[in-house]
Parts: sequence; structure tokens; C-alpha cells
Amino acid sequence: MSRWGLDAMLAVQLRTAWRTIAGWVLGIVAGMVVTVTALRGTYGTPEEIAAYARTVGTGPAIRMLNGNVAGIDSFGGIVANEFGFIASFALPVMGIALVCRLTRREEEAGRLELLLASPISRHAPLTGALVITVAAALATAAGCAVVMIAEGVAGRSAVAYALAIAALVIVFAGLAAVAAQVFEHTRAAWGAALAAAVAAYVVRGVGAARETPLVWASPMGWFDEVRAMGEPRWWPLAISLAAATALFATAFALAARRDLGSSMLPVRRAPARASRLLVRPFGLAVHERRGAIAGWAGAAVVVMAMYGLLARQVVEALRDNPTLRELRGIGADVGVDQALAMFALVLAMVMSGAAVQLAGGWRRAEDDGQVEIELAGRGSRVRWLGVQAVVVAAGLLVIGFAGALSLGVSVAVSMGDAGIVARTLVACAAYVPAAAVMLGLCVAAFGLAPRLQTAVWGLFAAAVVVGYLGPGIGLASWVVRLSPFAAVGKVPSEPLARGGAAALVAAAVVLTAAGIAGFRRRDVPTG
Amino acid sequence: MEDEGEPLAPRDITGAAMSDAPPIHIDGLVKRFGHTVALDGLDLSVSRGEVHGFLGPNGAGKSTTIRVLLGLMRADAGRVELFGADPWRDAVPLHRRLAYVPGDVTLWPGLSGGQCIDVLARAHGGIDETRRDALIARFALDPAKRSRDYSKGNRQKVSLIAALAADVDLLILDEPTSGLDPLMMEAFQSCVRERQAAGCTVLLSSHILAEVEALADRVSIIRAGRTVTSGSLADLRRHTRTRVRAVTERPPEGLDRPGVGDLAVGAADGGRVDVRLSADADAVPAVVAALERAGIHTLTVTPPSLDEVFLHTYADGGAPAGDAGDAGDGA
Ligand SMILES: Nc1ncnc2c1ncn2[C@@H]1O[C@H](COP(=O)(O)OP(=O)(O)OP(=O)(O)O)[C@@H](O)[C@H]1O
Ligand SMILES: [Mg+2]
Repeated sequence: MSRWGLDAMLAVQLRTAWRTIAGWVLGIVAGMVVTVTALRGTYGTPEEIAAYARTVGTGPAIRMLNGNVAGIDSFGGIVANEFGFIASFALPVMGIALVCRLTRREEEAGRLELLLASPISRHAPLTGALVITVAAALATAAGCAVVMIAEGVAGRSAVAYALAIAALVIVFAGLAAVAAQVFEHTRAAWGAALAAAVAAYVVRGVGAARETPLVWASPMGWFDEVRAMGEPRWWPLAISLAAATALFATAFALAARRDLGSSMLPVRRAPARASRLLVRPFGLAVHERRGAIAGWAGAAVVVMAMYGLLARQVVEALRDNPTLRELRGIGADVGVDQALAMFALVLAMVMSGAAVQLAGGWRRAEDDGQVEIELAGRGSRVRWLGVQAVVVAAGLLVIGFAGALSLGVSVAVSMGDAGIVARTLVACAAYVPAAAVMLGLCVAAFGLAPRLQTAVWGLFAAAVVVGYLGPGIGLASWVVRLSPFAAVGKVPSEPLARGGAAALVAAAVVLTAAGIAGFRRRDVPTG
Repeated sequence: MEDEGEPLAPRDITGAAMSDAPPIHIDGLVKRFGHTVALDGLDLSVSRGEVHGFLGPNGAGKSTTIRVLLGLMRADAGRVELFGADPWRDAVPLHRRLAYVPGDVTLWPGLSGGQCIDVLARAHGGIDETRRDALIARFALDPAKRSRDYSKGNRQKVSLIAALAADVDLLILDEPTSGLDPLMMEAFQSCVRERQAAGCTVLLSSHILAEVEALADRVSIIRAGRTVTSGSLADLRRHTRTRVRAVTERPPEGLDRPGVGDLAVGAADGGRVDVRLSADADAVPAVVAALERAGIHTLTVTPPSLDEVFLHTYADGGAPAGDAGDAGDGA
């Protein structure tokens, strides 16, 4: 081991990334704690559990969102179903984040050059990332198992579910490991791995809603097919394990062939002159963010198309299912508007996530010294941050419009009613203030407390959990309303909550102004 | 993984069979990046115990050569040997014998300078603790500051201290003093001399000619991925012209000979003659003799400065005649 320098590599990786690693493990276990304890209060008796099973049961809508959860007639099944939506995104992102953080990011920054000039094998960074990610996935699994067992989920089921959690993390870690060899920049590796995660979610969603074998084409399908809360099966875990092994083996083979700092893609040349647009602050900012904006827009289009094409089944399931309506806080008069409200809410979450991610680029630019260079020019600070915020805001509108159009058209196709397109666009527009407030938070953090900018992700996660799960897990309605996603009301099934929307817009304006004011005063760069 | 043979145990490389091998031997190294040919048949040889200056204009391929030597990049063609072993295949055992300072040092922003030194030392498998502390004092580094709060020069010092404190046979330094103030450059130079006295070989890539002049025993100059010339500083000087200016009583004769160029003869005050010329080192005695015969009033002989040597080689890639280097093709 030490002959390869793996112990030294692990020591460096743990020492420099332990916060990130611990954050992911604790964050996901905390999500499980919130879900399980809240559900315990709501579904305490066998009758309540049976009612959930009867009603939520096997509706295609919920399967599409959360996967096909086995053993829904047990408390564990309810937990798995409610945790399913978060698991579908948070677990893959955990695997991707850890591997990118430990490999390509360090290589891109140049820190691996120093380390690999020591007696550390060129395989050590990837091996270390593999060891740490597997350990973190198992720690997360152990934590979740303990929480579930403590709240009365059967031991065998809890262990099976926990192992499925670990397996899902590890498969996407393997995918990210390959992406980190193929792409030269961390951002591109992230984007590719996330695109794969979205594709896996869509494939699983379509397969689960229609109950076809298509689910086997997605790692999230393997996750569901363990059927932890029903009669657990262990062999789907072997599929995940085999896939992860193949992916990591590929990553190692690629890493063994290439130069440090290089990628598998050929070196490309770029224009020698900047275009007229690029030399303006606005054009430069657009150039910096356009790839990410296009990626988010693509993801929004794909996910919304999947939701929309299954709209008819969702509406029928909602009509037959009072408990699901109650869970999602939907009134009795169920129609397509209720389904639209659910989908538009998810689109608002996508836009908000995009806001936090795009604004994260400002901080990176500051660390890299670009902000200094740009501020040393003629433009003022106010203008710089203003331009950046406008570009991100415009990007969010592009993402939102693309997603809404995709949703409207696909719902119209599914329901056979062309008039729905316009209604969908109007409905989605109502959620724009929620995304605006997220952007405002980012500007405020960047201007006033730049070191805390990554903490905005925590606020985002909290808003998503409260907004999506809040009604179902029995949070008080005033708490739910605190989430920007719930504050505008359930448009279009309910009228727009004007007060809530106005409050969000006001908050966005105040936060942005405060952030810009703070940026005028603070040091650049603030380390 | 399949490419990497079983790494040799350290004794295979430090053992008697290998101990005679020169620390660095490169023959016809080629490295391409897509269509860019970064190294185009480069040669470099560094013998034990010497400080070898490695020079060349921006983009000549110095850092690329160093990365190939470190096994961070793979050669496309040519022979590359580090202590007689292949730097790609035997990277790990070879790295026990060397320390490296990159030109562009990136540290872990959240760790202090002292922590960074320890992390690098740990990666290296241990350093000389007393020397570590002495070096920190000598370079006046505050080891308790977070590395993101360091100035550029201080980041450079962290990497320098970690490398200089390691017990190694070879130091590979890529523009190690970029960002250091003159005082710290002095400290650096004396440290390198000490390491050399302790038997360490040093490859020093640099743009600072005074530094190379102060430290290097031999230098190699590369241009556009090829070695233009290689030799001792004295050798290099010999191939550049000495400038001569004299005022003589009579017009000199016999100056129009091989090895003399830029001859300009004019009138000076008092009917004397002003003579300017440049001469190859071999021709200087004859020139002085000719001037002597013409009755010297004043005479200045300026040996070529290193700057001139380098400007000459950098600019036209012309190798000073006769030496090992082949002329650059100016591609
Ligand atoms: N990863 C890479 N991809 C593509 N081209 C590269 C890469 N690294 C270096 N090059 C090219 O190889 C050539 C040599 O670069 P190198 O960094 O070795 O020069 P250098 O001599 O160290 O220059 P400097 O004095 O500026 O540090 C340059 O033309 C450079 O553009
Ligand atoms: Mg260089």
C-alpha cells in the first residue's frame, strides 16, 4: 500500500476534503431522520399505514416521481416512497460530487502535479477517491439503517434499503470517475455525469410509471428492484456492483494512458480574436455561463417532457386517490391543473438549483483572480455584479421557458388539448419569484458573506424538502409557506397567492440590493 | 493499469547497478499535443553533482520536458532516463530520490503554509525536520498563515522549503524563484549551493540569467522543442564575440581577418583613429596585437555578457559555431 503512496494520498485527501465528505454523509442521514420522524407522527397506526397503501399505493404518478416502491403497505414502504424523490437526486449527486472533488478538481487546480512528483503512483488519486467514496456511501447507508431500525422498520428491510442507497452512490461515483478522465475541466465532468443522472431518472420514471422492464436500464431502477421494503432481493445489488466495477476499471484504464492535466478529448484551437460581443462585460459573462445554462435547459426540457407525456395517467391516478391529493396538498376537484401545479413546482426547483449553481461561478472566478482583472478595468463593481446577476437571471428565464414549453407541449399531446400550452406557460411564470429569491440569496451571500456562498445550497435543499415533502410529512402550514416554492400557492389549481408572490419579489430585490451594496464595500478577493 | 509494470522496489534503482547512471539522460525526446509539437527531438544530459541550467524562451518546452522527466506526461518518442530508469514506468520509486518545485505553485487554500509543507513532506515520505525549521526561518515564512492568504512569493517559498528540506539526490526546479524578492533569491542560491555540496544534482529551469550565472555549472539552451546548445558557461561565452573599442595613433592594419566583424574605422580628436569591432574569442589576441602596432591611445575590451549569449541564441536560434548543439530550424 505504501509502496504506491496510497496511504499518503488518502491522508491528503481526507485532510483537505473531510468537511465535504462529512457534509454529504450527515446531510443525507439528516434527510432520512427528518423523513422518518415526521412520517412516524403521521402514520403511527396500522390503519393509517393501510390507508396510505390503499390510496397512494401504486399510482403511476407517484411511481414516476419516486420510483416503484415495493412493500408500500408497511411503514418502511412509506419511508422509501417519501424518501424516493430526494434519493433519486441526492444520492447520485453525492457520488459525482465526491469523485469530482477528489480527482479532476485537484488535477485542474495543479495540486496533483506537486503530489504526483512525490513517491505517489498516478493511480493513487483515483484509488483514494474510490476508497473514500465507498466508505462514505457505506457510512451513509449505516446511518440510514440505524435511523430506520430505530423507528421500527424491519431490520432486514432497513439493511437492504441502506445497501441499495450505498450502491446507487457508488454507481454514479464510477460514472463520475470516467467523466473525470474524459473531460479536462471539473465543470464539464460534472455536467456530463449530471446529464447521465437526469437520463437515468427519466428512464426509471417512464419504466416505473408504465411498469415496463425499461427500469432495468437505469441504476435507479436497480435501486428500486432491491424491493427492500417488500421481500428484499439481494441480486440487483450485484448489478450495481458489477456496473460500478466496470466503470471504475474503465476510469483506471483511461487514467493509466493519459498525461497529467490532459483529457481524452483532442486539444482544440480557439479563435485568436474576441468577437465584438465578447469584449463587453455582458458578452463575457454570457460566454462564461452559456454552457451551464444550456445544460440546465436541456435537463429541464427532458424531465418536463417525461412528466408531461405521462400527464393523463397522473390525472387519472389523482382522481382516484384522495390521500395522494392530501399528501401533495391538492384539493378535491382534481383536474389537469393539479398535475400542472405539481410539475411546475419541480420546474421551479430546477430553476432555483440552476440559480445557485450558476452564481457559484462568481466565487470561482474570484478565487481564480478573474474578478480582480475585470474590476481593474473601467467598469465599476456595481456594474460588474449587476451584469452577472442579469445574465444569470436571463439564463433562469431561458431554462424556465424551455422547461415550461416542453411541459406544455407534452401535456397537450398527452391530454389531446392544444389550449393547455398557454395555460402551462402562464402557470410556470407564477413560480419565477421563487427562483428570483434564490438568486437574490446568492447575490447577497456573494456580496456580504462570500465565504458562506456554498451554504446557499443548504438553504436550497431545505426549501426543496419543506416545499416538496412538507405537506406529506405533516409540517405546519406556516412552515411550509416559508419555503419560496410554496409561497406563491399551487398555481394553476389555485389562484396565485399575490401576497406571497409580492413578498418573494420584494425579498429578491432587497437581497440583491444588499448584496451589491456589500460587494461595493468588501475586499476583492476575499479568501 | 495494465500499462504499469510492477514498480521496482527502491533498492533496484538505488542499487549498485544503477548508481553510475547519470541522473538525467534524454535523447531525441518528442512530445506532441494534438497538432502542436511541443518537443521535437530534445537532448539533455545532466551528470551527477552538477547544477544544470535549463534555458529557453517562453513556450520552448522546458516545463513539458520536466513533466516528462517526472512521469507526469508520457513521451511520444525518444529515450528518457532518470537514474537509468524509465520515469513513466518507475515513477514511484524514482520519486523517492527527487524533489520538485513547479513554476506555478497551487496549494490547498484552507491549509496553513506549515500544514502544506507537512502534507508535501508526508507525500514524500518524510523530510529532515531540523532543516525544515531552519529553512522556514531562513526564508522568513510565517507558517501559521492560511495558504489562500499568502502572497505569490510566499506560496513559492512553501514549495521551495518542502523540496529543499527533502533528503534527495536530485532537485528539479522549474522557475523556482519567480515571485521571490532579491533577498530571498540570495537565500535560495545559498541553499542550492549547500544542497550541491551535500551531493545533490540540480536541474534549474530559469529566465533569470544572473541566477543561472551564479549557480549553474553547465547549461542547456532549448528553442522550439530542440536543444540549441549545451555546455559550460565558459564554453558558451567563447562562442560569442568580444567587443573591442580603441583609439589609436595610426590607422591599424591587419584587422581584416577571419574572426573579426563589424569593423568600423573613423576619425577621433587630435588626428587619432577610432576603431570599433567585434571579435571571436580566438581572434582577440591578434586584434590586440594589431592595435598595439598602431599605437594604442585608449582600449576597451568588453567580454560578452550572458545576456548577449542568450539573446543571441534565443533570437535567431543560431548555435554558436562548433558546439554540440545543432542549429534550431526556426520553425
Ligand atoms: N497540456 C498542453 N496541451 C497543449 N499544448 C501544450 C500543453 N502543455 C504545453 N503545451 C505547449 O507546448 C509548448 C511548450 O510549453 P512549455 O510549458 O513546456 O514551455 P516552457 O518552456 O516551460 O515556457 P515558459 O518559459 O513560458 O514556462 C508550448 O507551445 C505550449 O503551448
Ligand atoms: Mg514553463
